[in-house]
Amino acid sequence: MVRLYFHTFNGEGDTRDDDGIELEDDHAAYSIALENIRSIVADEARRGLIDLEGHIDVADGEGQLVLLVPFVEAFDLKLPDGDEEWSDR
Amino acid sequence: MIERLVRKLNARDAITPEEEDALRGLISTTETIPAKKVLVARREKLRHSVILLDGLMCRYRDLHNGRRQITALHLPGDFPDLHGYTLHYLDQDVMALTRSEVAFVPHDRLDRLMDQFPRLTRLLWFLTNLDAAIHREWEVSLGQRSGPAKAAHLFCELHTRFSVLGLAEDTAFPLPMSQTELGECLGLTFVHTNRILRTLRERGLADFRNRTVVIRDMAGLKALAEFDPAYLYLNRHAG
Repeated sequence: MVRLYFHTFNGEGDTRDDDGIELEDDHAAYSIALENIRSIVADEARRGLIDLEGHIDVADGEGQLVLLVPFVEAFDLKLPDGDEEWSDR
Repeated sequence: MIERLVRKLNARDAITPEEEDALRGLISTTETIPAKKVLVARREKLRHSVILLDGLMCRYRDLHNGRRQITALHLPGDFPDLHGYTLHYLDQDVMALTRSEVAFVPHDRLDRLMDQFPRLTRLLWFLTNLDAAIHREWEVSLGQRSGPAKAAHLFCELHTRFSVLGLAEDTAFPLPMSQTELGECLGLTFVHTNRILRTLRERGLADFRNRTVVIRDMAGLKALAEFDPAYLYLNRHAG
């Protein structure tokens, strides 16, 4: 088991994770980071903001960076302007 | 042993000494349950219900993708599975969040209580109705309130419920759960929950640290939550 800390950095400022969570190993950290990014952006989207400039930094107990996940990695983006996927619809 | 339950009922309707004795007589045994133990499993056949004497428990449902929704928090004096008396099994699991003291109430003793103490029976019915009212307010939160408002609402509710039991201070109450578990109550991931807590802290409304919630601005917190305690039926003679 390993305890990892998920620190969030985006337009709303930095949010440090002081509690962390216990995981079997590092592998689950990426999907957990994605899930958390989606949850945060979904809540902001309800208020009319989609800010994908942030990132989650996953650190171990010594504060060493294990993984950096940019918000934008959590989404497939379909935008109307000259985007083929969008115009195909 | 049942002081919290009596206190909770007394806040709604006066309990006579005979009724208090009758409540005490419901209990067959007591047990200490370790933290994180499932006390009542979903779909398990039930022949007794449980009064929480001390500690903190929850009802929850797990989905295949690993997501957990906590659907209710139970404080001392609550009867988390009283509805199991008429339903015979539960559709959700009941788990101890902390080490908890519980008292077992065999259903045949509830049968006898119904014959001998109709008014008390009506008060127990009130308890299940109160649980349902709390569920409905949680539905409103899960469906409609913003992240910070969800957390604010839960804090207002718990402060009120702990106050009834004499377990809260004017502006603080114990909340012995992790950020992940709090998120499972609010339908939010733990990182998201962390950010929402930061928002409440930065707006000077409330602080959740070291398993304690400190309310800095009660009026502001209630306003953000649109908290109306009517659903907690704190007026006397509610039952």
